[in-house]
Amino acid sequence: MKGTHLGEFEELVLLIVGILDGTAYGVNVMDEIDKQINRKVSVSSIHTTLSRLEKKGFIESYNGPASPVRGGRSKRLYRIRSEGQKALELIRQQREQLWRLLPKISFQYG
Amino acid sequence: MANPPKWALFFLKKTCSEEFLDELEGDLMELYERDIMKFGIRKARRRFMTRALFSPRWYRLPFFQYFQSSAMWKNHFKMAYRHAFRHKLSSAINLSGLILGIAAVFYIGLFIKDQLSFDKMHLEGEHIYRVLRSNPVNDKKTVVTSSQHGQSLSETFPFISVCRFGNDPVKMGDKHPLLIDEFYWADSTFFDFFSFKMIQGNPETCLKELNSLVITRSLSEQLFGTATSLDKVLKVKVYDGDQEYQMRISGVIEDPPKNSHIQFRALGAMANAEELYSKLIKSWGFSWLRTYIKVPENRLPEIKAALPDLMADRLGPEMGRTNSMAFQAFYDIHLHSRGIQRSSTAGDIRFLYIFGAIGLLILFISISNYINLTTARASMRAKEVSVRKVLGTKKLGIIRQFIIESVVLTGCAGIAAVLLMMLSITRLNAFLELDLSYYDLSPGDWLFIFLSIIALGIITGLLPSISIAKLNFFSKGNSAIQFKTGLNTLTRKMFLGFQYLITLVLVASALIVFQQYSYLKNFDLGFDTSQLMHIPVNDRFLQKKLHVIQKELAQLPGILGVTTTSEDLPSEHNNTWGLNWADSLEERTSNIEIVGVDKNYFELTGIDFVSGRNFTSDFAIDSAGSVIINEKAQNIIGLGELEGQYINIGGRNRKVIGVVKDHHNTSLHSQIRPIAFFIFPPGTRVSPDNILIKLEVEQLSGLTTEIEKIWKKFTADPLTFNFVDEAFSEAYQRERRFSKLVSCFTVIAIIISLIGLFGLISFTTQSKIKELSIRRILGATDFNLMKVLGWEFISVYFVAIVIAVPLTFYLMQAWLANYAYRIQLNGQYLFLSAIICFSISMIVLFYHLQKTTRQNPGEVLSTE
Repeated sequence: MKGTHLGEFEELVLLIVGILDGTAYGVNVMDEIDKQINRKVSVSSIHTTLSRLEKKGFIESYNGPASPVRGGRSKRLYRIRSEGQKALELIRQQREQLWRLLPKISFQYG
Repeated sequence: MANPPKWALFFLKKTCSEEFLDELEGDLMELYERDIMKFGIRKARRRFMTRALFSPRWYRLPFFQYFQSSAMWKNHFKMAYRHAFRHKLSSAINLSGLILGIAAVFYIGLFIKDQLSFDKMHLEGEHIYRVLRSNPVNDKKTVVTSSQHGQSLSETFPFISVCRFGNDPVKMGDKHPLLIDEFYWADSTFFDFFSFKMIQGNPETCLKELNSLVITRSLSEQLFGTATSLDKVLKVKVYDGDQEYQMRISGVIEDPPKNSHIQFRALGAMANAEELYSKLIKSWGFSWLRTYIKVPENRLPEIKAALPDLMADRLGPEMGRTNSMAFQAFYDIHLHSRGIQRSSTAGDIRFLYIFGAIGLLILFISISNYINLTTARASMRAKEVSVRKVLGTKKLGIIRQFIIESVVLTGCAGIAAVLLMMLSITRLNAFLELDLSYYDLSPGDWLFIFLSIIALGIITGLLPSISIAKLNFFSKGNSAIQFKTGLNTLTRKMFLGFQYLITLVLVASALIVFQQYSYLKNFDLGFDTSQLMHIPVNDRFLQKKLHVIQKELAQLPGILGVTTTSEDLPSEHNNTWGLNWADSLEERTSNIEIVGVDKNYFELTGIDFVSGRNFTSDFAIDSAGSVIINEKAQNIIGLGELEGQYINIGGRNRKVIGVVKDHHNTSLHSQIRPIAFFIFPPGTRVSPDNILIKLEVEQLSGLTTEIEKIWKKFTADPLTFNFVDEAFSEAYQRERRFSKLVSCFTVIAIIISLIGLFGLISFTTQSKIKELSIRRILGATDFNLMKVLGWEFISVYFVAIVIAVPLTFYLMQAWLANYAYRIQLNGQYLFLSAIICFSISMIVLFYHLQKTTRQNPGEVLSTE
């Protein structure tokens, strides 16, 4: 088993896959990232991350229907698995815990 | 709807494995269609191409998909491992051949790298040229130059800078003086030219002032026990100038690296030498310096063009015609100085070619071993390969498997070879008189070695794997015998033939090189070098007392005779004078070598007189007026018997009182020169400065202490001595080393090809075991069976001999042409080499035959 640590970009993609709720694939993940947080990435790097997340067991893929828009190629769709959900929960908990420990003072004079 | 560019789609197919292709292509197409709406077709196509070009990712490259599947890897390794251990003998043969081959090539590589690295530490070398004194008429070049050479250049061409340095033996220190032979007077530009590492002192100014001295770390430690000796004052006695200086140490440098052709232990400021030899350095004939110039880019042709005028201007039109200068690029000095006189470096580009070739040949032999054995053994893999094919492995898959196997095997052999070299390098160095090490190899070098070994594995694996993959295991039944060789017979025979050829040529060459070396060593020099002890006397002051020392030494029991001479043996001939005579037609001139001796010289060295007599006394009448010449000189003059005649040597008429037989007082690299022997009083450049003692070797140990006692009475200098016969053998050090190197690698080549032959014959006998058994039952003798088996080898062997004979002859003739005195090439060495190779093959063949036929024929035939 590979390490289940999530990188920053991996976390982002995993969240987007969750948001898209079972309809995620290369292009719309890319679009969503652009739309939500205004960050431009290439479709190939999305592929890399998706495949890595799949290998780690956070998401799973299944073949979608072929569509004429894509030159007859079928979509490979991704949906989040419970492991992925748990990992996101865990990260969120850790973050919140850390946020609570952050002294307020640093914001007043920051 | 316009389609995206075809080649981009093709590129995607090639760089993305099938598993991910739909996803990638689909996404790119979707984006493409969106782009068409947004930007129009042209821009969309362009964006598609860019995306496609940047799409390759490691994880979806088709090639790497294969390597990601660890099960496949494990399986390949397992098969290779099992196979290797099931056939221990042939695997061992295969591996040991490769190990030896790679190790030999590794060592040769170190040698070549070391030779090529010479002088590269001198960063300015690109712009530096060595000035050679040259004679445009006979194209002779000499390294040593006069002070005037450099000076005239720097005066005429202001854009160049000049650095000169000249050797002058000195004595350093007070109480326990050290003799320093490697002392040089050097221009202050020295450290601007040559990049030596300075420990203390300023490289720009350290040689500027009078009495400044730069010493090496090792000398500093020897003198003061520390590497930091800046500003200490040292007594330096210059032998030739007969002068003592108090010199201040203005710099300490690291010892010159071994691969710099400039070697020294101490440098003194040129200012001192200019003061000391103020008269001599004005002369163009006083050659004692090595001169280097630094020229700005592209301005050398300018200098060359102006040279004839310069020389004519300085020396007059007559002398200017035969005296000129040549320029040698700095980085060429080590490897390209053949034929230049007095060039001390031992490198030679031809050595590199020879050893590079030997290395490649050895590598070729070990590769062809591997190829031959692997293909021959293909039958043993038949079942495995068939099963793989049935299960759907494509040809490419099988090729890949065997290449991986060969890479793994070569990798193991490579590691073992490097380890073997690391363990044995000190011994090899000692034996071959080299000083190579792998410590200096950079990580880049190691990477190169690593990649080369992998490449070697791929190359070796390619041919056998293709031939194995090509086999069709079902076309002709399933008996292993039918696939005994994957390579066709011709290719296999060619490999075998090449091996034989290489071995034959190497063995014959090794024999010839060794013969030439022992020929030189045992050559009859025309005089007796045995039992002669040589003591150099550097101190001018001491040279004046030479006769007294000589007399005292002669008193010692065990000493048969003592003589003095201006030339040590083998001679360098440092003094050449003009020789003038008139024959019936005209005045003639030539050169003659001058040797100062005394009357004991000829008797002690066993040089016979052809006519005339010896000198009669040490001084008076004979001194400088009378001369003894050798036959060569008499022949050059060509006026018949010269005894009693007068000839003009060095501008004076001298009476020839005797003629001695020609003898080789120089090493045999050069021909006999005309020589004139004189008696000179002490104090001139040609006065005797060497003592030769003929002694009884049995009493040597006692005698040396006695000699030293007498020596100490006259001087505080340490006594140094050597033996003339040893010095002569030392002169052939290069030949000895060459002979050792060639024979060492020849032995390796023989061992490797023997290993290969062993494996191949063992395989042939195994695959013909049934035939042999049947023949045996029907009454065939050992000899009959040998014929059956051996015919293939013998026929190949004879073809190899036919090619090897002229090849060896041609190569060795070219090599021997470098020697003034050389052996005659004849068939005997080739014959010997052929016999050696032949008998070795036959012994191996016979051994296997015995092993095979000793088995019970019934058993052999009953197993299927």
